[in-house]
Amino acid sequence: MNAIETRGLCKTYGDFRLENINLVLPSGCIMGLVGENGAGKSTTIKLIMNAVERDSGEVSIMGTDNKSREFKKLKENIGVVLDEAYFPEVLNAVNVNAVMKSTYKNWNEEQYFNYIDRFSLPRQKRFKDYSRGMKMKLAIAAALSHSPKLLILDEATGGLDPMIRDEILEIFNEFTRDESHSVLISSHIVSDLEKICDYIAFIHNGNLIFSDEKDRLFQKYGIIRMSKENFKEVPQDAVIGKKASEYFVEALVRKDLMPGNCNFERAGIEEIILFMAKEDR
Amino acid sequence: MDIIISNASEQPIYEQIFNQIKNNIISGKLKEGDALPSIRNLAKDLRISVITTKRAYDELEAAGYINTVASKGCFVAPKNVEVIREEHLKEIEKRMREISNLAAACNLSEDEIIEMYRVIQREG
Amino acid sequence: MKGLLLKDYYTITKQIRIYLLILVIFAFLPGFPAFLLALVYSSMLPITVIAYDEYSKWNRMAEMMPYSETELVLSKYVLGYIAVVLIWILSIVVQTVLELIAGIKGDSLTDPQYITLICVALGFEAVILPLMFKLGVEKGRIILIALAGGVTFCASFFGGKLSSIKALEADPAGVMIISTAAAIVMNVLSVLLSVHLYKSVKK
Repeated sequence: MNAIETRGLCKTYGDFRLENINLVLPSGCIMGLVGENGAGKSTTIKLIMNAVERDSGEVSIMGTDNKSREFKKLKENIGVVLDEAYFPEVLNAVNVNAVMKSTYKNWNEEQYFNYIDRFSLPRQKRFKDYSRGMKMKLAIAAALSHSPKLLILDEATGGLDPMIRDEILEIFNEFTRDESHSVLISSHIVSDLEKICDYIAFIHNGNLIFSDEKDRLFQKYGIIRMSKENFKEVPQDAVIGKKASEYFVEALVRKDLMPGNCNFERAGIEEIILFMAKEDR
Repeated sequence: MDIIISNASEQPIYEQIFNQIKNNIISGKLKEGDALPSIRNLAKDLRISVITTKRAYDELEAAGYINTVASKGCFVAPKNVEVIREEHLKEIEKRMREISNLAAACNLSEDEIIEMYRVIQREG
Repeated sequence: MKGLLLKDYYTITKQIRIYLLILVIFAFLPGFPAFLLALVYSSMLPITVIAYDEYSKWNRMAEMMPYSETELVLSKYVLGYIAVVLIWILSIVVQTVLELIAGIKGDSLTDPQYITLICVALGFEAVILPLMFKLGVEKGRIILIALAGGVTFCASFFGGKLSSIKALEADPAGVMIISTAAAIVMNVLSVLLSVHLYKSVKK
C-alpha cells in the first residue's frame, strides 16, 4: 500500500501556483522533498494534511482520501513536525505530555519521556525559554510518541547542529525498519536527505521536476568536465545543465544518452538539482 | 559476512551488494540454507535504500544463488554445480587475460608460460 | 477536545494569572456590579485565549492533530461556557459563606434576573466569537469596542423606555425563559457560523 499518493495536486495562492504534483510514497520508504525556500514544499505538505484546501487533484493517505471523514481518525497515525513547533509559550514538556495524552488515543507517555531524556530536554523549563534546537526536539519527541505509521516533517531538522541532526536522521532510519512505517521529509539540507531517503522529489517554482528512486538518479545522471572544444562533441539532448568557465565546461548529463567510452563523476542530489534549477532560469 | 558499500564507486549500489553476497556464497562463507538478513534490515544497517537492496536480492534470486521463502525470508540456495563452474571458468579466464598481458610486457613466449604452469603443477 | 481545553487551561493559569485573580476577586465581592463585571470578564476569556493561540500559531499545529475544525472552534465556546458557569458557582458559594459567617445578605444569584444576566453574557459570546474567527483578535477587538460603545450609548439613551427592562421588573421568570431560549439559539447559530468562517479563512 502507498503511504502517500497525490495526483494532479494544484493550489493557487495569489501569485504563487503549485501545479500538478504527483507523488507516490510506498509504505516502508522515506521520501525527501527538496527545493528552495518558497518552492512549494510546505504548501505540498499542508495539502497532504488537508490543512489548506486544494484547488484540484487527489490526495490519498494510507488509502484514505484526506478530505473524507475517516481522515480525522487517520491523523492518529500521522506524526507531523512543522518548520517550527507552535506550542504555547508557557507550556513545559510535562504540560505537553498532558495535552497530547488527551489528544492522541495511542499516546505513549513512557516513550515520550524517554525521548525527552534522550534529547536532554529540561522538563520544567517553559517552551519560550527553549532554544530553537530544543523546540524542534520537543516537537519531534511529541510526533514520535503516539505510535505513528507515517511521519511528515517540514524542515524539521533546520537549525539543529550536525550531531543532533544525524541522531534524528538515525531515528527516522530506525523508524522505517518496520515495513508499515513511512516518512516524508522536506529539507533544504540536501545532504541529510541523500543519507536516508529511498525517494527524492524535487519541487521548483511550484512544479514537480522529478520524483524518483534515489539510487536510480545516481545511475541516470553523471557529471562531465571537459574542454569547450570537446564539449561540442557531446550530444546536446544528453546535457541537462551546464556551467562554463574560462578553462572548462562542467555539465550534468544523462549517462544513457552519452557515448559508451565516457567517464563520469558521480552526481550527488545537490548537483543534480542545482544543474536542473539553473537550466530552468 | 562483510558488505562494504562505496558511494564513490561507479558501480551501482545494487550491483555492489549483488557481487559481494554472490562472492560470499561462491567462496563458501555463506552455506546452503543459511538465512540472509531481511531486505529491510540490511538496507537500514547499510543506510541504503530499501528498493536498491530489494533489486540486489531479486537479481540474486534470478541468478539462482538464493531462494525466497514467503514470509520467512531469503536463504542461500543449494549450490548449482553448473552455475558455480561457470563462475569459476569466468574467473580463470579473467586471470589468464591478466597473465597474458603481463607476459606480453615481459616478452614471455607461449611455451615459456606453459612451462611455468607445468612446474607449478609438479610442485603440487 | 479535552486536550484543547487542557492547553487553554495551561495558557490561562500561567499566562494570564492576573486576569484570573481579578476574576476571582470580583466573584468574592458581593452584589450586582461585581457579579456583572466577573461575568463580562469570564465571557471575554475565549478571546484572550484565541489571542494567545494566534501569537503562538498554535492552530497550525492543532490542524495536524486528530481534531476537526468544528472541535477547534467549539472548544473556545466551551471554554467560555465553563468560565461563566464556574464564576457563577463561585459567586454563589462565596455569597453563601459570607451570609453564614458575617450575616451579609445579598440578592440570591439563582433569581431569574441573574439567570437572565448569564444568558446575556452567553449571548454576548455568541456575537463576538464569529468576529474573532473571521477577523482575528486584533481587528475583532476594535469592532468589539465599537459594538460595546454603541450598545452602551443606545442603552443609556433609550434605557428607561425599553420595554424589556420593564418586563424584567414585571415578569422576571418570563424574561428568563425567553432569554435562555434566545441564548441557546444564538449560540447554536454562532458555532455554525464560526466553523464556516474558520474554514473559509483557512482556505
